[in-house]
Amino acid sequence: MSVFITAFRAFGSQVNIWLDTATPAADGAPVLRQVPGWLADIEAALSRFRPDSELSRLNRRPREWADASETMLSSLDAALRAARITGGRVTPLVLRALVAAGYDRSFEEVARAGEAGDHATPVPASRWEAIQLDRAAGRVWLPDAIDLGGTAKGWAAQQIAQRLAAHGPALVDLGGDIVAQGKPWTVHVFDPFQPETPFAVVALHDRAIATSGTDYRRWGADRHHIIDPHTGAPARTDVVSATVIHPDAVLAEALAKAVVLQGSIAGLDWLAQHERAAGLVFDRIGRVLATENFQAYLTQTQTHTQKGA
Amino acid sequence: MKMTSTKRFAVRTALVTSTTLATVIGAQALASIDEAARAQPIPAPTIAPADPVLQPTTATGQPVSAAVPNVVILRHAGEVSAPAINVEPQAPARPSASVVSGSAAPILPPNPVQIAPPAPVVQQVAAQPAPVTRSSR
Repeated sequence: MSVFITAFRAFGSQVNIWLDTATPAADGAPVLRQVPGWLADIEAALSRFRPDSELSRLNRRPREWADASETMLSSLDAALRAARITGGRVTPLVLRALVAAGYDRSFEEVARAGEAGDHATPVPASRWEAIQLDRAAGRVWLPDAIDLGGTAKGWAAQQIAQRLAAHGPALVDLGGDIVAQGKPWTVHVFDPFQPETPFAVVALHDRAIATSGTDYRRWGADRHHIIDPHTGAPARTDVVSATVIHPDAVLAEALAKAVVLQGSIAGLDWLAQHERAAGLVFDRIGRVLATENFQAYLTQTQTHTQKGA
Repeated sequence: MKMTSTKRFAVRTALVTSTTLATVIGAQALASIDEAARAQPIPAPTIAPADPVLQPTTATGQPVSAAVPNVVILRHAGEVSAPAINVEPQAPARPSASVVSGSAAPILPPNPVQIAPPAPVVQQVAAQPAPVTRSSR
C-alpha cells in the first residue's frame, strides 16, 4: 500500500488529506491533485466572504424564493439537520450577529489587521425553522441572511471523503474537522494550553472528529466566532475547546459548537444523551472533561504530573 | 343539655384519658417505626466502576472522578499533562500561544497565517504523520 498526502489552504483553514492506495502504481497522486479544485468549487458557492458567491447572492435578497444549486441545497439541508439536532443552538441564521460582533471579513484578514470591524448591538438570530427548501424545484426561501460556517467544513470534508472512497481509505482534515474512513486512523487531540504536544491520541475508523473552540478565532477581550443565537452575542462559556467524535462529520462539527455554547459540564452531559456522539472538553481552568464513551477511542493512557514537579 | 358537676367530671376524665391513650399509642407507633428502620439494611451505593480499558489517574494518584453521571474528569485544574506516550511532538507552525496555568489567563491568538500559500504538493510518504484536530486554523 502507498499513502499519499496533500496539504494546502482552503475555507480559511489548513487542509491535509491522506489517501491510502492499494499499490504504488495506483492513482493516488492524480486524484489528490483534483481535491483543491473540488474545494474551490464548494467555496465559490458557500463563502460569505466572496461577493460573487451563490451564498452572497441569496443573502442579498432574503424573503423571496430563489434558485439554488445542488451544492447549496445539500449543504443547507445539512445545516438545518444540525439545527434540529442541536435544538437550534447551531443555526445558519447568525450572519448578522457575526458581523455585529466584528467578524465581517475572513479571519485571516481580521488577524492581519489586528482588530475586527466595528461592534454593533447583538441581535438574536431568527428562527431557523423559517428556512424553506424545495429540493424538487431547486430553490430556497431564507427569512434572513445566513452563514454556513457552523457546518460547512464538516459537510465539505464529508463530500471530499465520499469522492475519495473509491480510491482507497482516506483521511480528510479540513481545518481540524476530520473524516477518517476505510481503515483505522490515529488522530491527535491537541491541548490548547500546551499547543506543542498532543493531549490524547484517538483511533477512528469510519468516524468524524471535529473541534470547536474560543482559543483561535477570537479578537478583542471577549469576542469570538461562536455566537449564542439567543442573544446574538459571542457565547459566554467556560469551554476553551470541545472535540466531538460522531459518524457524521456535519454533526460532529455542530455538536462540538453546541457543547461550547452550553458550557463544559452541561454541554457534555447533553452530548451524552446523543447515543453515537463522544466528546472531550478543555475548560478555562485547565480541566479536561469527557463523556464516558470518549475513553473507548483513546489509544494510549495519558500521564499526569503535578504542576511544578 | 345542662352540664351537672357529675357530667363535667366525666367529660374531663374522658378527655384526659383519651389524650393519654393517644400519647401512649403514638409513642408506641413511633417506637415501632424506629425499630423497623434500624432493622433494614443500608442500600449499597450504585456508582459504576471506571472503564477497564483506560484507567487514568490524577496527579495525586486518585481515580478519575465523575463530574456528573455521564461526564468524567480526565485532568483536574492545576495538573499539567505530559504528552501522550510514544508520540512525536508536532513541529509548531508558529510561536506557541501563552501557556495557561490553573487560573484563567488570556489565550492570545497566534500570529497571522500566510495569506498566499504555495501551490499544493502531493507527496508519497512511507511513514504516516498523525493528523491533528484542534480549533480550526
